Amino acid sequence: MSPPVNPINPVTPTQDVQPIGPITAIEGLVDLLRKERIAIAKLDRRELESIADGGAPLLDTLRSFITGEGPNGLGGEDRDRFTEAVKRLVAEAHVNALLLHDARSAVSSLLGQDQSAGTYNARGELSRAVRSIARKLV
Amino acid sequence: MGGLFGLLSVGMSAISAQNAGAGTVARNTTNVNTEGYTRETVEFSATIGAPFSAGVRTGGLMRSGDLILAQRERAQSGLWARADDLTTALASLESNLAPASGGLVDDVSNFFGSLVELSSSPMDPALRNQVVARGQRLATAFNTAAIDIGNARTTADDRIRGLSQTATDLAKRIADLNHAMATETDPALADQRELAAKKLAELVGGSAHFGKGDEMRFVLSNGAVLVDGDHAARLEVTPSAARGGHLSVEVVSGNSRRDVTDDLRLGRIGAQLSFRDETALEAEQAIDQLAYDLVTNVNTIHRANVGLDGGTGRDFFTAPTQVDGASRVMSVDAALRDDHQLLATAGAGLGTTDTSGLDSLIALRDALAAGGGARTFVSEAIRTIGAVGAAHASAKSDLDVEQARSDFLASLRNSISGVDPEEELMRLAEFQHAAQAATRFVATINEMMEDLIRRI
Repeated sequence: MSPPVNPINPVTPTQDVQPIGPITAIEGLVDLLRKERIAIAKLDRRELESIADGGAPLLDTLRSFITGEGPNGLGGEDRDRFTEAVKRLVAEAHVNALLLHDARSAVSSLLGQDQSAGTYNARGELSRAVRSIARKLV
Repeated sequence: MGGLFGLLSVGMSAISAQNAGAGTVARNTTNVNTEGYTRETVEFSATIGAPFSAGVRTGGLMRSGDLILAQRERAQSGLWARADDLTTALASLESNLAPASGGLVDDVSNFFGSLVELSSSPMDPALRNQVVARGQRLATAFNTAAIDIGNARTTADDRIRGLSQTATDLAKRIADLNHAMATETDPALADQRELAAKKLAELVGGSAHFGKGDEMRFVLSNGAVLVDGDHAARLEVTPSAARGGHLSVEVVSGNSRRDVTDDLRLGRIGAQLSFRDETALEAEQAIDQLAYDLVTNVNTIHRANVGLDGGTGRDFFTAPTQVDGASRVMSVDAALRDDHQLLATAGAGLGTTDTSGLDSLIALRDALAAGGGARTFVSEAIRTIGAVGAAHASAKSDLDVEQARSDFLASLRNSISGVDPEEELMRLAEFQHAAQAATRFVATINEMMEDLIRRI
């Protein structure tokens, strides 16, 4: 498998590509989620798709890390940095999940699409789930 | 960490934005720059198919969309304005309490530092004077912090007073427009009413509902009615003894008065009330408690010690009579300020050159004598000032997200005001698909993080 490419700083295929570490992958995802927030605000379909595509290799990197050595393999300072990065990513993902939910809900209303009675519950569940994770971190 | 808490709090405060209701705000290409202008007619003959599976005629769909969107925008304006005002107020307070250099935390630390320095040469007049001077500087820092917080709360009152008058004027305007619309059919009146309702929501939150004959009824989140048909209530502010002389806010309608001070938490007025009665009040109480604990502990030891003149039983700081207001009146004892020999550093009965009394004072630096016995004085000062900083960071995060919400509602409004509504509707449907994919992307991140967190 070829090394993943960092979409934040893309390199051409002819260049030597250095594999990125889990912290860099998380930081890249945080950056993407911030861009995603702007795309949501603009209701920009293309940018949303591009961000999801750009995040795929970063997710692959993280997946490999999780199934491999995992955070226990990180040294003291790296571990602290990693934990901080995870906290930030959880928070950013939480915000985007809610924004996406709200944006989809607003567009659905406008389009006259049926919204299930469980919309509020779904949003509440979403918040509770991520808060529960966050509580373990904070 | 404040930023993280802020991000995590997002959504809970904004859940009311989910409530869709009624109203009409849109704009068309010829009136795009006219504030509050609503496109008068939107009629499209085409019946569209999937993904608009309901097969709703576009005209009806757009009108319905306008109604729903206007309600969302009103709710959102209250949330955004709250975050905006709260951020500004907290930024100002934080910059006063935690300047780039110096400040209360440094002065607490420096006071104990001067005692440590004195231990190297306890009879040195310069070092003894330094202890007294650092003590007075610490007292002044407490005085300044108390004054800054008090001023911030007074400024909030001033803003509440001004905004309440504006809210009253807007409520009256809506009622007048309701009255006018009962007899006139000019569509500009509906636009003006919608704009007034949005501005009112920006001040107080609340929601608008439509009753008989398209009359707008504006209700606060606690159910208090501000506008009902052609009748408008007033928002009145009065100084309240129960609130330490700060203003209470009442909805006044005829002979009926309803205190909404503790209920108003949305919009700019809600932000000012939250700031005044929550963050700033908590900071004021915490600083008073810290000052009281510090003065009481230092005085207890100082009274037991003996000065160079052989005297004992004297306070270092002027003793406060109560916790409330302790930081505002804190001062080094006047006699001690004039004569360093009164600084009591010897233990009782051990001669005036003994330093065990000074050691007891120094030991206070590391004692868990503040924060209800949980923290040192320095760490409690950091916690107190830090709480304001955390609240500010949280408000900034909220503002960031509320801005994103406001922006996507504005994007949505632009879409339904587009030149080619059918094309815009298709674009929105495509956005829904992309948003669904984005939701999966975010969900995958969350699942992975859950896995990682279990292993951290």
